[in-house]
Amino acid sequence: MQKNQRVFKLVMDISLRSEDFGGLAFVPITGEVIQLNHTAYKLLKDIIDRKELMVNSKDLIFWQKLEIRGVVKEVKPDD
Amino acid sequence: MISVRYLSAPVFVWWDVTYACNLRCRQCYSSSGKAHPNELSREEAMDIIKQLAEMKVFYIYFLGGEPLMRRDFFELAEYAHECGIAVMMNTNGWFITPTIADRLEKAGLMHVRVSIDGARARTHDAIRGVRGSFKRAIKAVKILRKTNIPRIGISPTVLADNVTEMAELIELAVKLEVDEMQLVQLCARGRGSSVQSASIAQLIELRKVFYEYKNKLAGKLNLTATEGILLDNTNKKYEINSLFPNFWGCPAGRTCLAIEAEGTIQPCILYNIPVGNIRKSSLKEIWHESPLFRKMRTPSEECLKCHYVEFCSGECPIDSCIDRLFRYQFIECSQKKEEKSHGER
Repeated sequence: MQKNQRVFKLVMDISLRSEDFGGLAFVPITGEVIQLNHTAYKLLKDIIDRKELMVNSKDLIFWQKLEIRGVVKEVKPDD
Repeated sequence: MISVRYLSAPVFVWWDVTYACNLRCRQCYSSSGKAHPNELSREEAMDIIKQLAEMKVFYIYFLGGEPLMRRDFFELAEYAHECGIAVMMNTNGWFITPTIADRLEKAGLMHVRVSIDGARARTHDAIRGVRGSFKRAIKAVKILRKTNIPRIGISPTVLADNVTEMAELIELAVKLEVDEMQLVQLCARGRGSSVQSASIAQLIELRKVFYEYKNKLAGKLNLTATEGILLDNTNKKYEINSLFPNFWGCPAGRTCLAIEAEGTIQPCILYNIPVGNIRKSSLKEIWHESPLFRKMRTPSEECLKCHYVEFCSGECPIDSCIDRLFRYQFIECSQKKEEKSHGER
């Protein structure tokens, strides 16, 4: 793993549902529903499956938005 | 005709699980008091929850009547939770004890909202029809605050009798340290059709109070209000369904539906027109095939020209709401000019 690799971890339960436009994510603890495009849906599905995810710089804004909502948090990558 | 997008399944459902209620609130849209003689059985209710889980509905909002008067309420809530559906409820708070609150927490409730219709006992008790109900509601909030239920809130229905107490009630919400508070517009169903609404001038004043407190309390209290209170005819854009940029307009029949105690399915609790009954059709069939839902998803060309369409989508329950501000602002609606009810259309 590269030193500058950014890693995000899921910190609360979320529910996902696919739709023709991508999907929806529901955050039960806040009651928030988030509309997702296909890429965002796939990213969230990946982090649910793996708990932690290495993030590409092009997706960073998406993860940072979720971090503000308290859904994920950035963690230090394992050496 | 342009079809408005709708989801593969509702995001959530409102569910009047029983019409039984110990109070006799003047504004009750379901005229609750006695249970309906043909309310859904435990088995039927469980089957609905199973269907909702299969459709991947995210949450159920249990309403009534008083949901806690349904004997199997905890079973239903627990089953929904087991099925991965988040559970929320509205209660008048009368039956909330530390034991009941603990059971609600164990059943997996994510959000409990207590109805409080006035900042003072005299106002609340007069509206709710039972002396002592204010005291019980406040006690319920205090008990619920001690649980680990993620969100505890309060909600008043705005009426002529309590509109001047809303600022005081918001202050009370802060004092009670609730997570959220929602001001609810009066709905002209049931007993709500004969209660006096706040005046237009009062509602315009209330909107100012609302925004003043909303800004002041940001981060401390999540203060919200239903559309009839928030609508401002000087705005062309409304923050309805803002989380669904592709799903502008009224969410009824597009992102949610309502289930009545005897299984009737409606677009929402305000829109009192049945689209089916769960005893005759599956929820999936109703969601995808109901002619009314289809109509609601297809505004007429005339409606699409109207600047309110982004709020009402051409099939808003304006006939169901007697909130005078709400009606006042829809005065230019051609459907209103025809003076036809939704039932006639």
